[in-house]
Amino acid sequence: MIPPARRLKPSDKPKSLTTDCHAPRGHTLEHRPMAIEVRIPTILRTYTGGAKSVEGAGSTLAELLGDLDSRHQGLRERLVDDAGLRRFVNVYLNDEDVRFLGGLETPVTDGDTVTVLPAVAGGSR
Amino acid sequence: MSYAHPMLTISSLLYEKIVAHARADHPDEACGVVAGPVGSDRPKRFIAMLNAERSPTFYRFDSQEQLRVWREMDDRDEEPVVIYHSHTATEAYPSRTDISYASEPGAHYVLVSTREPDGCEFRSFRIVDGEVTEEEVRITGESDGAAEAGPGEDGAAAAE
Repeated sequence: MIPPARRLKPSDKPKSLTTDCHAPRGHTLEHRPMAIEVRIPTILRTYTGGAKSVEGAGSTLAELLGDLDSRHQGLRERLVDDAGLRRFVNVYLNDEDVRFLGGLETPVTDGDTVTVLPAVAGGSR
Repeated sequence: MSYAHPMLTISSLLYEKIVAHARADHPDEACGVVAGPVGSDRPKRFIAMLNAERSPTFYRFDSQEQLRVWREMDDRDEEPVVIYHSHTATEAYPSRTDISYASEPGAHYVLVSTREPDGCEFRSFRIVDGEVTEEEVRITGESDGAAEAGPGEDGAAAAE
């Protein structure tokens, strides 16, 4: 059986680089177990040392947030409470609001992008 | 960040677009953003947003539309300089709900009240860590031909 082709992303380096023994580490196609990108809004970057995006692992959104919290303590609590996702934030898996998917149980996989945005809402009361 | 002389500077054209949107959606609350280049503090690009709540007392950006608009701003090196919404029966001042949701410390939160059929309250605030600071609104003439003596100049000062 031929294994399924790995889908190349625009960010992948040309193949020649991967065989160059002088290529700097981290710039090749070496295996990276943590491959879900999570984009962090300005207001929460205090938890990520200012980083606009971080990477994490997990098979569901809940697991991913747990994994992130091990390196960015406090981040998870800004996103979820006992009842689930906080109403003050929107969390998207690729292009979909996870509220319309499976919420915290939404499956995630390597190559996905999770985007966090603060919900913009309010009212006269 | 500190704002020694907090002020919103906005063109009369953008001012009028915000007011017109608030009037058009009355009695429901209207909402939207004005994007501008990152770090410029200048609102340039008017984006009316859907109020997913379609309510006279509450607003919420539609989450899918928000993702699209936020990505577009990102691609254009813009940020939400102004986040506006209307109050349709109360004054143009941030409510407790507004304050609890406010999460863009760099944005000017503009409130428009449409409770009076004529005349218009148009006020701007910073909301940082739950603290509200009203700021001056300066309307400039760079209006691409909008009427000079429009409701703008009077409306800016018309609180209460």
